[in-house]
Amino acid sequence: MTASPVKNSRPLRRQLLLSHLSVALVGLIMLGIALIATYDLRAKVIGLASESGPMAQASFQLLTGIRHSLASLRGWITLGDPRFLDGWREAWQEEIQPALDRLKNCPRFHAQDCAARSSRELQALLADLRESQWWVQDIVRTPGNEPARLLYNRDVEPSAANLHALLAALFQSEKEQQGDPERKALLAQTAELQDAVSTARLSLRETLGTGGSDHEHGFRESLEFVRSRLGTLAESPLLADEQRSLLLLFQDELEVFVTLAREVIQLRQSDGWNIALRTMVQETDPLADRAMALAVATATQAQTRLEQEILAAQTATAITAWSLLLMIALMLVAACFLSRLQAKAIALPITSLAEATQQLAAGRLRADIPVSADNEIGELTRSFNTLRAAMEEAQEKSRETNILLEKRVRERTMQLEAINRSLSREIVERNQTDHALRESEARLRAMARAIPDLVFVVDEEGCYREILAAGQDRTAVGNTPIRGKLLSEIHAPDMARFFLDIIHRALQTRQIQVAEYELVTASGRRWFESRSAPLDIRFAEPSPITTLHPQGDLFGPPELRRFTAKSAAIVVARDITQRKHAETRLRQAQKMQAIGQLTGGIAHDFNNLLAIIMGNLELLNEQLTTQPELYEMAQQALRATDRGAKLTQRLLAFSRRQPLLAQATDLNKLILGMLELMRRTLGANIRIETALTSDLDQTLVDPAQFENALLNLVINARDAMPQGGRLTLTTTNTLIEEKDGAATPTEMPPGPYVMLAVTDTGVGMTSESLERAFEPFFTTKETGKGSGLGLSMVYGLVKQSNGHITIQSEPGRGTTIRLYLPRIAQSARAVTEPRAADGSIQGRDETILVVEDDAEVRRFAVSALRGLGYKPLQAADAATALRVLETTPRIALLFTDIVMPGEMDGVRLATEAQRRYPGLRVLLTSGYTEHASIDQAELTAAIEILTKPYRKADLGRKLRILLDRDESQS
Amino acid sequence: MVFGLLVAGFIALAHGAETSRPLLPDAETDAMLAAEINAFSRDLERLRRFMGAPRANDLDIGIHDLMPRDLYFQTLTLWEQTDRLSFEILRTRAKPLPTPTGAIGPQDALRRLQDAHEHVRHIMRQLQITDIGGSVEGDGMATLDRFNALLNLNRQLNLLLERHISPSDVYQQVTLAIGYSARLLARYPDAIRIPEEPPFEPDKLPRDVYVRLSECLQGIVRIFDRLGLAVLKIDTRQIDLDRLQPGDVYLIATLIVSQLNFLHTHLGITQPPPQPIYPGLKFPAHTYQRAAILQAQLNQLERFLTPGQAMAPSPASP
Ligand SMILES: Nc1ncnc2c1ncn2[C@@H]1O[C@H](COP(=O)(O)OP(=O)(O)O)[C@@H](O)[C@H]1O
Ligand SMILES: [Mg+2]
Repeated sequence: MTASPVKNSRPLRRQLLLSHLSVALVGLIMLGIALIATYDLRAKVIGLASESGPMAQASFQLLTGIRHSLASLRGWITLGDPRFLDGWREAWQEEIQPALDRLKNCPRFHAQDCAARSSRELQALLADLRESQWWVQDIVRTPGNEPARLLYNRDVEPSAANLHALLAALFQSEKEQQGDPERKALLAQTAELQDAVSTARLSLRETLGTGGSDHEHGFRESLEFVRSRLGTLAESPLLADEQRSLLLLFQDELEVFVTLAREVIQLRQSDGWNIALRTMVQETDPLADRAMALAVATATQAQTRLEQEILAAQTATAITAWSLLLMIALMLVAACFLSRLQAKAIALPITSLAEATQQLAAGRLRADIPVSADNEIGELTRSFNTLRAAMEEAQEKSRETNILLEKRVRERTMQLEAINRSLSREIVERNQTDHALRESEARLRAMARAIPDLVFVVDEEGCYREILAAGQDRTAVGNTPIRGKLLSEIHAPDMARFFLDIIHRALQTRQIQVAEYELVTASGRRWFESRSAPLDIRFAEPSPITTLHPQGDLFGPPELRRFTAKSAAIVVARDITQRKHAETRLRQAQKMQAIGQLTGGIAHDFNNLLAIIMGNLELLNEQLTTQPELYEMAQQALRATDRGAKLTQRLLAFSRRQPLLAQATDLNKLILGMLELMRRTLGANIRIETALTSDLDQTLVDPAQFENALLNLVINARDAMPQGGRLTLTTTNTLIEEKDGAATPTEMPPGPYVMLAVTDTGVGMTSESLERAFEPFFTTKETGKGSGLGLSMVYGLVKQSNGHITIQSEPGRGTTIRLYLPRIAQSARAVTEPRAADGSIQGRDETILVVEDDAEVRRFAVSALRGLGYKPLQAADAATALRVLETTPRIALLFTDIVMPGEMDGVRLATEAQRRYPGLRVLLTSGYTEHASIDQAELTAAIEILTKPYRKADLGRKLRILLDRDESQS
Repeated sequence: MVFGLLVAGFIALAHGAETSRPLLPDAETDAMLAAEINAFSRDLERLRRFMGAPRANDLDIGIHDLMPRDLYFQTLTLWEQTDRLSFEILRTRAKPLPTPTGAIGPQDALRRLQDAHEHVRHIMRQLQITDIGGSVEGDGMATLDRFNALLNLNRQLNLLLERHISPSDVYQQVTLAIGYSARLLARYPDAIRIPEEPPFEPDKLPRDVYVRLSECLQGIVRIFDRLGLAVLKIDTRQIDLDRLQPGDVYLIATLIVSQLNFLHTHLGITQPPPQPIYPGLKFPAHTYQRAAILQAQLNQLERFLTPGQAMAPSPASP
């Protein structure tokens, strides 16, 4: 298509363009007119809303504000309530001032010259009014507001009081001059004078009030009367000199009074008698009136303006509406006319073309359409004709091609179906394999997570190939990725060699290798047990599970995952630290028990031997008093047996075979009781500190033995601090929780305990000493200084008391020994220990039943008792003893061995005997016992224990303690 | 000091030139004033001994270079006190002297002083005190500052009174000063003539009032400086504030009134401020509160007096 002829021959387009433009032009003109009208209207409305309205409003507000201020001021003047003052202030601040501000902010208002002037005038007026009102409110309630009253109160009143005082003096002196009737008249005149002065004073005061002028006359009259009375009085010859001078004074003061009174009256009568009221009337009110008048004028002005504006706005609105309507009508007409013209020109050729198109679609058009005009529509018709011819030709060709195409499609479809079938089969198989693989992976992963141990693969060159499980805590491997590292990079050289050796052995023998070793880890030294098994295949690539493992970070960066195939072993390592420790503890406990049994057995037999030796030596001793040399030898022998007895006692204590009499004991009290002894033991270089819990519970322990134990600990501390230091004794209540003690049976059972800690700042112990400290005869001290039995005795005592003991010590860091003793809730009976009076150990012929299976010992006991002045009976076993108790009356005390053959031992016998004879005292004796300790609560009456072997004197003392004890105490 | 006073007096006279009153030469007046003060103090001392009143100790309140008007107000206080004394002793009051019109000169102060002195002599005669000093001829007290001498006379006189100068009196003076300031502020349409009173603060002493008032006085001094007017100098740095009595505070209040009064006449304002009246019992705290109003007024005045804008009568002034 060429450009120029087409451009020139487009009348249709031009026509259309012209008609649309003319319609748009009409619309635009109309819009413009509407806009102008609206703007005009808007300006008017804005003026109304923002100025004229508010101005009128402000003026009215001003008016009410002024009225409010006036009313408040009046209220304050008449009633004096300060709330009116607040109201006055409010009127100015919240009504008048804002209103004035608003008035000033109306620029249109000020455009008019007269309005501006009146606004300024209003402002000045209001300022004057406010000031004037301020002065009124400030003075109205002050005393100075009424000068007359002020003068009266300040000066007249004192003057009147003076007059009264003078007259009173006169009257008094007259009364004293008793006598003739003339004098009586004088007295009466004085009284009248007094009266008149009072009246004058009162009327003067009355003049001060409202309508005061009525009283002025009264005042003058009474003043006259005073004057005349004064004249007569002054002339009276009866007056004494003193009275005359009083009268003179009175006259003088009266003159002052009168002058002042005149001044008061003058002030009261002047129009300034009330300054505030005068100001109000003369100044404030006129100002207010002027201000209000001006405000009203402004308001009216504003009102008028408002009305004018409204009218103007209404007119403008109407004009705008009408002109708009007219425009719309005009435009409608124009648009109608133009459209019709246009439609006619375009519609006819297009209709014929449309018909031809329909025919062509139906395939009925066989001939060209005639071209009607030489415009765009003519051209369209020509193109249409060309199109028609082309379409006919194309239809013919396509029919042939279609047939060929259909044949090819059928062939291809068949091929595709065959391929599809084989593919589906393959996919099903794939899915099955995949599922199986995933299942197996999941199983493995779960296993790896569940295993508490460390599982990893190490190849023949000692390289960590894979970590399958890292254990619950990763302490053993730490947080560094070890995959791909060599054993020697992770461990010390000797350990690395050891591990590699195991791997090689496993690979060579093709058998599982078990090894135990200790390893230094981040959390300290730990024991491990490893099992290494050779892998059946050569290890090449990591299995897929490791890459999916959640702890993937352990396995190093991905580039390290390429390995060459090597034979490898899988290693399962288990942390057996706890088991190892438990084993050690168990061994220690077993050792202690074995030693205990051994020493206990020896000590028991030894004790009995010693008892016999001691008994006989004592008897011998008594016989030898006359032969000093022999006596001394016997004494030495006795001392030796004493030492032996002490030794066995300690051994027994360690082996927990010491007869103990457990009592509810307050450890604090016990410690405090021992402080003095401890101080003496420790010497001046060592300071003792105590930190005792004030509400410490009681514990069940044999107090005597415990004192012994504590003393042993203190002595050890002293030996550990040769240069001096500090010893601290601490007591607290503690609760051992279940989990703390659950580790092994040798730990103490959970529950409430009382804890005593003995801390020193001494040399401390090596770990070796620590391990063996409780062993009997273990000592690090030079021979002769330490026996090695101190701590073992303490150990035995605490264990026998169901307690527990720990040592915490490091060389150079001091030592803390903690004793845990079971707590008891009930408060114990206060067992006071009456010492035998002045050491007397002699009996008073009381009957005592001795029960002892060993005949030798029994014989010694009986003879000792007899020597002490008792009447002994004897029995070899419990059954006999009960029979003797039954048949013999008045047995005061049962003295029985604890360990006896037969069903009933000493304790049971004592219990049974006391059940039958509640008042019976019991002295138990033993060198050895199977009982943990004898709980005194089991026995009702007073009970004591005498450890075997004993001296006669010990026996005597114990007996007296028991027998002298109050019935009530048991 | 005296020279300064003379110069100041000269300036004041130059200002008051339009009120043509027959004036004594200044130097002469000044000498007479000095002599009069001397005689007055001698008589007062005699009266004091007669009455057995305590002696006032001298105090410098740190105000210097005073104008004749300041002296005048000082003598006015003296006069008021002698009048009060006369009433308390003799029960008589004097006729008030007319207040001087126009600029106040040294003669006005002299006249007041003479009148007050005459009061005292009258009292002494009535009390039959014979050795009243006769001569009023000047002698050698040229060295003593007139103002401080008057000040000390006032302090002494106050001690002779039964009803001393009280915080209420100070209160009245401050109220008067407020009145003057309101008149001055009326020239500015946008001024708040009597600003809101601040809340009452209890536990104030005369010294607190003194401090606030001396601040006001300093404000006034600044205003005078702006207007190019001569004014007294105030220096409160060396004052022992604890020794101040209500009388001393009263003094500074009268000084303030004196300055404002001057400004008032200087600017040709005709409407006088309301006369202060007895306000009832007031504490220093009340005066302190009231002085805050004055301070706010003076601040406004100072603000309106921006440089270049002299205190020309504004068209809005009624
Ligand atoms: N407080 C202590 N400080 C340091 N070492 C101690 C302390 N108590 C005990 N020991 C060590 O334990 C060993 C055993 O103590 P013990 O059984 O009392 O025997 P002994 O005191 O007779 O040596 C002591 O030799 C000492 O090495
Ligand atoms: Mg020891």
